[in-house]
Amino acid sequence: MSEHILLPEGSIEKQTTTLNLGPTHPATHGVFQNILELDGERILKSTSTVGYIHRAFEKLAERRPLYQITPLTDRLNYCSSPINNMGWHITCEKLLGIQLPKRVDYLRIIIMELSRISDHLICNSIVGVDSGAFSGFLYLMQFRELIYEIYEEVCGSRLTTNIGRIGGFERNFTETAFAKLDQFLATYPAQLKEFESMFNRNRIFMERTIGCGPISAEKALNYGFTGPNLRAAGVDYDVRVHTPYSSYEDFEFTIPVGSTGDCYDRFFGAPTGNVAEYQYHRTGL
Amino acid sequence: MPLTNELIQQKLIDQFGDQITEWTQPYGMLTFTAPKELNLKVLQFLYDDPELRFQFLTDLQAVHFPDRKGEELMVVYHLHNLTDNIRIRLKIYTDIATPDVYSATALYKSANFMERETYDFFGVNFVGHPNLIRILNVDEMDYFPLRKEFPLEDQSRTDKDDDMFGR
Repeated sequence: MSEHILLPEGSIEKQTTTLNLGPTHPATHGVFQNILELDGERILKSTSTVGYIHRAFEKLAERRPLYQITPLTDRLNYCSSPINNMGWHITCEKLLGIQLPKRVDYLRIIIMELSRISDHLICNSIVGVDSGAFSGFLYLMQFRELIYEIYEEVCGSRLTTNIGRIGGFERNFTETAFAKLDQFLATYPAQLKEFESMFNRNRIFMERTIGCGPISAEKALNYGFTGPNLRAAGVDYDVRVHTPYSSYEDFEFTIPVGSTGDCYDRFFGAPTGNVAEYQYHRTGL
Repeated sequence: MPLTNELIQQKLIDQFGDQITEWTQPYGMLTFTAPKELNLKVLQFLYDDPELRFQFLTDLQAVHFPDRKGEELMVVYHLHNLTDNIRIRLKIYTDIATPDVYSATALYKSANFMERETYDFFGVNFVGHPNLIRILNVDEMDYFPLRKEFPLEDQSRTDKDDDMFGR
């Protein structure tokens, strides 16, 4: 008798269904499990397990010298590891009281904006895949490839970059790196336009995303939203504007702000068209 | 009048007197310490005051100081006023034998996961938390891994001669 799996107390009498969703893998790292309480197709309650994904970076950082922590910061978000590297470098420079030349700041901005683009490319093109349009994903992935080639030219690696050093870069950008950057800036905007014309006013895409998972600005703040998701809810806050680091104050750019915080607004909140192009020209590097 | 660190300090002193201590401004960020029974009162005051409006909880974590007897664990709240773009830091100390701290989940929804994480790694018991269970580690774990009682090996040691790993 005891060999049988016993149902939890009261499962037969209750009017809702319990459904175990997952563990799934959002982008293959770790597991994410939701135990849902369903009334028909409506989710009444969800118990989430975010997964056993802690890698004890804090503990490792207790012992290692500062420069050995940079490769760990790659792994915090592997879609835009250069930004995480820069975050670490800038923190260390602040602690050490290092003053950087403008050129380093501007070179960093180029790399950071490129990785921001490549990160948002993933987000926005994967939304396309999830709502049933695979081609948008393929269109944009070739530009992520171009961005990775620029990283490769600068630091030698592609995904987990370990780019730059505390106090600057390992070396100056090569001519090839600038040539690849020019190539990217020349071809990317047109392709992006094509991507946008495929999605922005697409009936299927709009019906699947508008009104899907909206959140109010007040709630988003209370839940600790940041970045594009916070702006999609209508909070006009961007750290590059409000607390500029790495000479962001020298540049002008527009930040998209949404109003309802639903998937459609978030799609626009993660801008794939970006500021890197005229930053690049204005610096005259 | 724009909100400055001095104004925030003055308002807190007016409200709480000398109970708030250790005023410092490392790298321009106002940092202060409150007694642990007062943490919710201070947070609520910072949240509600029409001028202060610290309504965004950026981060919450703990630090372990094995040498500070009676106040081994420190819980740090990073708060952000998005309107005036000012960040401050509130610290509270607690004894490691009875690490009971009032939970801020009623004020900030974001504190829910962050307090669970702090409990998971440092064993701070957040009183009033709706679901204080481990979040990133396995449920069966019976220790708090980020406390300092688990030192890592000193990487600069020279007494080990290992051909395989080159030390």
